[in-house]
Amino acid sequence: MTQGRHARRDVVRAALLAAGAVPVLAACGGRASARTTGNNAYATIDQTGAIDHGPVGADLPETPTLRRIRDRGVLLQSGSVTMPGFGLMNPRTGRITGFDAGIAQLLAKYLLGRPEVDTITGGADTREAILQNHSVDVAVSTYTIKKSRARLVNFSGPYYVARSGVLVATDGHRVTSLNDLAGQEVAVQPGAAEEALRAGCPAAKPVVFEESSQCSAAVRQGRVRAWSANTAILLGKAAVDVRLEMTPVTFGSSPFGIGTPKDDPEFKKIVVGFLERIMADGTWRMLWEQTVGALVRTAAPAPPKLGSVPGS
Amino acid sequence: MSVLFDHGGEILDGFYATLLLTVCAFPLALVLGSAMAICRISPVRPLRILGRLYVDVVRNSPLLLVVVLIIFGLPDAGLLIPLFWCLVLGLGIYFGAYVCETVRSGIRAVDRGQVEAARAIGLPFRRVVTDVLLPQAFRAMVQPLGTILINTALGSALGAAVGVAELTLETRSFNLETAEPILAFAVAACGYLAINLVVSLAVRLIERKARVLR
Amino acid sequence: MDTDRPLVKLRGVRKSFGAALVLTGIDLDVRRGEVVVVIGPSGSGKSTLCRCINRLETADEGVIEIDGKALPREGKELARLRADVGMVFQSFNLFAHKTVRENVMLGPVRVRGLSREEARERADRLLARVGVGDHGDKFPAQLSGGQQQRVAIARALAMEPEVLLFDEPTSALDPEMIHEVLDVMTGLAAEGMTMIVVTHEMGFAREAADRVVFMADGGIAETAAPETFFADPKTARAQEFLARVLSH
Repeated sequence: MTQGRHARRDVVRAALLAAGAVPVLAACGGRASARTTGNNAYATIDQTGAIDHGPVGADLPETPTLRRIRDRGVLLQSGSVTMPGFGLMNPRTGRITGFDAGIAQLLAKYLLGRPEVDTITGGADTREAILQNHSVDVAVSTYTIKKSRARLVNFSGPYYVARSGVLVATDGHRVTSLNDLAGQEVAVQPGAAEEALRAGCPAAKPVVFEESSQCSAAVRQGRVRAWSANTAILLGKAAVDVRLEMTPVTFGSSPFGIGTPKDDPEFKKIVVGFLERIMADGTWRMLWEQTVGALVRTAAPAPPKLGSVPGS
Repeated sequence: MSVLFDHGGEILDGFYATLLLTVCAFPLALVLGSAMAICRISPVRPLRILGRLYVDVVRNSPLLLVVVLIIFGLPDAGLLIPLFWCLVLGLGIYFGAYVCETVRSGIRAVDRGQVEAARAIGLPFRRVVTDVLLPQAFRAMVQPLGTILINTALGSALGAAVGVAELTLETRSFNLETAEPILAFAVAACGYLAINLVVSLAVRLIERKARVLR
Repeated sequence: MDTDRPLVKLRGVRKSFGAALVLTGIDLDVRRGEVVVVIGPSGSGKSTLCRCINRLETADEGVIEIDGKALPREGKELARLRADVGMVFQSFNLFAHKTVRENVMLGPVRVRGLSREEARERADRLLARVGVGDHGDKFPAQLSGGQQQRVAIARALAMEPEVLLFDEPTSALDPEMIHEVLDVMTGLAAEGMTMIVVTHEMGFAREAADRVVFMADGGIAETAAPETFFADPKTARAQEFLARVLSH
């Protein structure tokens, strides 16, 4: 398992490096313009303040999942390392920043007393399988609560409701409504954004890229008409790259939940209890401000109502 | 199972795309790799250096890096090629390096006397290569080339990470929609297995035919 | 044609492999139509000499001329010259992936520019002449060693060479097949083909050679007509050698 995880990380790291090489090539082409240095807004995200503020659970009931976590001394989670604002790994330090990464760390602290998390980056397609076979304890990975998935895993949440936005090239075609994307190629990352686009504009042609940097490069280079993602990701990108701009189009609502193994309903209750705690004591709000808030630059909304979505 | 039929069209399209990627990329790898192998054994030093450089650089880069560089590097140089062809190019260049080494070792396996006999009747270098070396080296190469062909098919799964709607991407989307991970993986695995089996069978047939000539 | 000029001329040819000096400075002239048999103990440099003449090995020093022209370095010129200098190897070296007929046709088609029909006709004629006319459609591996070597001779003849080099052509053959190859060679000698033959077959040297060259320690120790050489060798090395090979 450990080996597989590292192999996977190597691939991700190589991709990140490769994506990093692209601006260098661009500079060689002599078309480098000001304020295009990439992921500044993403890179400044730091949720350690919220983690320090997070509670430690007391008198938790013993469940199989909790026993595994405590025996191991670390929370194994399926998460993303390529979603700015939610889970983005700094390839140099190996640290993962963002709202989802913060939720996972807070949960670890709640269960173990320390925010010890090991992130497995299996991608959107393996989450149900590795929860079912207990390769991971939880999935916190922009994981949209759906009834079909609730057959296979338990969801606690929603802890965040994402809306999709649309980002275009400044010198490209205007997009003023969702219909403008019909028949057009639209870059998305796999998972929630892809699902939301398929549901919100079935006539659009999703072009799936693993990395957010690849999506933005594809838009910039005119390879696709637009990039659709969580508004937080897009605002963060538009803020640092003058060649990209937000459109007013938003659509869909993706309720993110924490996935836990189906065979441990007691553990789901513990996680729900955890979410209630951090929503009530201001930790949720702090985490939001230090991650998503740093990208969208608006006031924090009220947390979503737990159990309000079919499947949760 | 019925969900599978609802999405059968997309998955078949994906399988077709995987086939097409393989069928386009492998000949490119063959041509490029053979050309580079000939460079590596040629009497001209700059060509030898070129071939060596190609193999060393490409074999020490992950396939993903090669593909990503082509997809996002070329447009900045003013060349916007469709994603599908970017992936074909990437696979061709990447597996061309392995073809090169396979061809080179196949050539090395040919008895020196065969080359001396060819030179002794006055064949120029080009003819020694095309009339004697390559056809004989080919026999030792069938098996490893088959492996490279299978790896090309498997490597095309990288399309899922860079926006090419092939088998892996389609089954992944299928899973995203239906939350049937085991079924989705099984379908994808069967697709690749089918390609694998056909290639293995073809390799066995070709090898049997080649053995008669020995 | 200048008949005084030797067809093959070697002057001061030296060759070493690493530290080992294999040819110590060879001078040799071979006239047109002459059959020169090179004999000597193993390791005396006979094969290397043979291979230097068509530049399968590169001499370190000295001059090698074919029909008055110095041996070119590499490339097209050399290939053209090699076409005029036929070579028959100890281990036959027939092209394993081609039929017997294709083996003989390859050079005439690719180098001499014959049409496939002409080359085919020539191949069948030569194969019949060396006695393997029935085997044109077989692959080399399906023939006996003696048959393969005769095909190799046909392949060399198909180029219509000025001179034929034989590098121990019978050493890899079973005893009962040696004579069938020697018969073909004797026939060629009788027809006036210029030949340089490295061999251990003293009988062939006695019968077919115009001249015997005896090599020892990388140099030519003695040169004589066969009847003189075998009856009355001058050097101690040659006497020793002959005593050994003729005793059994």
